[in-house]
Amino acid sequence: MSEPDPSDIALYLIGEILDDLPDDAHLYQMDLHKILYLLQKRLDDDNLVAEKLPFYWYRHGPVTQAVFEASESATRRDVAQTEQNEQGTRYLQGPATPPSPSIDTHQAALSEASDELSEIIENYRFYQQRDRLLEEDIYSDAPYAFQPEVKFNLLPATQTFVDNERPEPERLADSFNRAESKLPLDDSFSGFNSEFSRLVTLAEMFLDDDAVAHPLLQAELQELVETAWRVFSDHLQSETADDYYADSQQQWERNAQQSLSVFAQELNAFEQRLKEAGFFERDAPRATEGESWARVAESILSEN
Amino acid sequence: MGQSRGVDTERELARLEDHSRHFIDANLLIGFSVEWDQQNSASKFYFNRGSPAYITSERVYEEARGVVEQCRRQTLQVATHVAMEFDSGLESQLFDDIHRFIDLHFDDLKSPVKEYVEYNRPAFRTLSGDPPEQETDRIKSEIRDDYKTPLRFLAKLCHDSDILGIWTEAPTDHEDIYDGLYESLDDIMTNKDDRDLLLDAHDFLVVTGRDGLLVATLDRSDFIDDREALESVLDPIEIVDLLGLYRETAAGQE
Repeated sequence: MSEPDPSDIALYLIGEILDDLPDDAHLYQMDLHKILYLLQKRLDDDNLVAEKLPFYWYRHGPVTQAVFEASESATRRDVAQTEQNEQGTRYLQGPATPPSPSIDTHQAALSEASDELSEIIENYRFYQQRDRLLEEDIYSDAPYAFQPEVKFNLLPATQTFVDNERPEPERLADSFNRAESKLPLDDSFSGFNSEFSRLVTLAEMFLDDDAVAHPLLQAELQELVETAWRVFSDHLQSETADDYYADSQQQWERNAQQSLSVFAQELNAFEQRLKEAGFFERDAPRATEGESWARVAESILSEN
Repeated sequence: MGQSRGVDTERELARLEDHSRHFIDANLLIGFSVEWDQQNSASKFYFNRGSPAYITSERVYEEARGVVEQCRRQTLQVATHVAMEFDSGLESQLFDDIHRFIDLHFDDLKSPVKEYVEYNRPAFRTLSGDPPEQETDRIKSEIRDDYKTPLRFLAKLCHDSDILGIWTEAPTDHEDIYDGLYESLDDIMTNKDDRDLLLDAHDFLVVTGRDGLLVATLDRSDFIDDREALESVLDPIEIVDLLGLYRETAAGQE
């Protein structure tokens, strides 16, 4: 008997999820990824269902191609009904029952998955605090500390800074500092790390000075932080995907390189605007004997 | 004076005085961000000698800034890992472990990061003792502030063209425009950043129509060991052995 297709397993599980959905609750596609990720965590590694859900990390958390394909298929086969709203596509239970995937020899694995799924649905935060669930139950597994730092600290701090009538630039500068300190050590992120450090330098230069008086530059800084997260996620996708995604890897790597190059250009443009607004004119004394930078610089020069 | 330990001091001094325009390397930009004391102050030795027009390329300026940013990033990354994964135990063991961590995880700029860790030992000792998050953040802010001096200084330098001219017209890739020269330099130099610095200097000379230019650097291994070959390819650009000159003159007098 041939191995079952991951999207058939995901379709069956989506049917189960929608069937168990509490009254008036709805799901977005990202919830389907999250619920099946939580399911995979609970199952033994050798459970066939767990094996057949190949997750990788992306912008909104762990995702799998099986859910992307199965959620489309669920709509097509009336397993799910969908509604569009501003936040995306909502998934509700449809009239049809999904076909059971052909894993007869692993029926026990499917039953175990169904049981665990019911428990996950029961505890899933359908109505509120989904971000807390994401932070506590999912991002605690994130492979890089930079991910939760940006998602739950830097991005919201930037939003607060832009929205607040009395913005606090020092707080945002601290968030940038924390994020830089948690950049991945892997060589594969070295290009991104350099550009992110450049963003941190420019942001600090802006935030240390008269940032409050420049709302357009504030908005631009916010866009740059969002871009940084997208660029990082493009690299993250390649780094965390397993062999199941071998056919997509080359294209993903090309996209990641391209988005990094666009990010670098956007940083150049932001730097130019900071220069035009006078942020580079500030007096800057040289380091004196005994100061940290004097010692570090001496060490750099002696390396030559 | 005269020739000593392979350095013809008269020749090097003449080069410095003969050129009114100096194209400076990233190591001098980094050194210039410090008000050097008398010890090992090759950078101060150079900048105090006279007032030629200082020029560098955007690429070299970016390299200097990138070096400072990389030092800051790596220092902060070390701080994070010490806070998260290291135990406070024997002090000597702790700092040996931190140095090993730096050797293991970073390809370059290891010594400057180790230098910073040594300078700020109390901070790293505190981080290893599982401090509250607020204290960890405070120490990280302190590290950030320590690296602000050179970054601010470089920003100021780049803004004021009376102090430092930045040549922004150089092509991103020289190979198509200066193909013969590119290949010749590529054969001589192993460090590709240094090859591009020389091509930027050449581009400046060609585009502005100047009749001469001095490349000033503290890097002996990449520029001075093969200087004769490089200068024959780059004529009329000359390269000065600043570090050799400094060691033979000013350093000996301290």
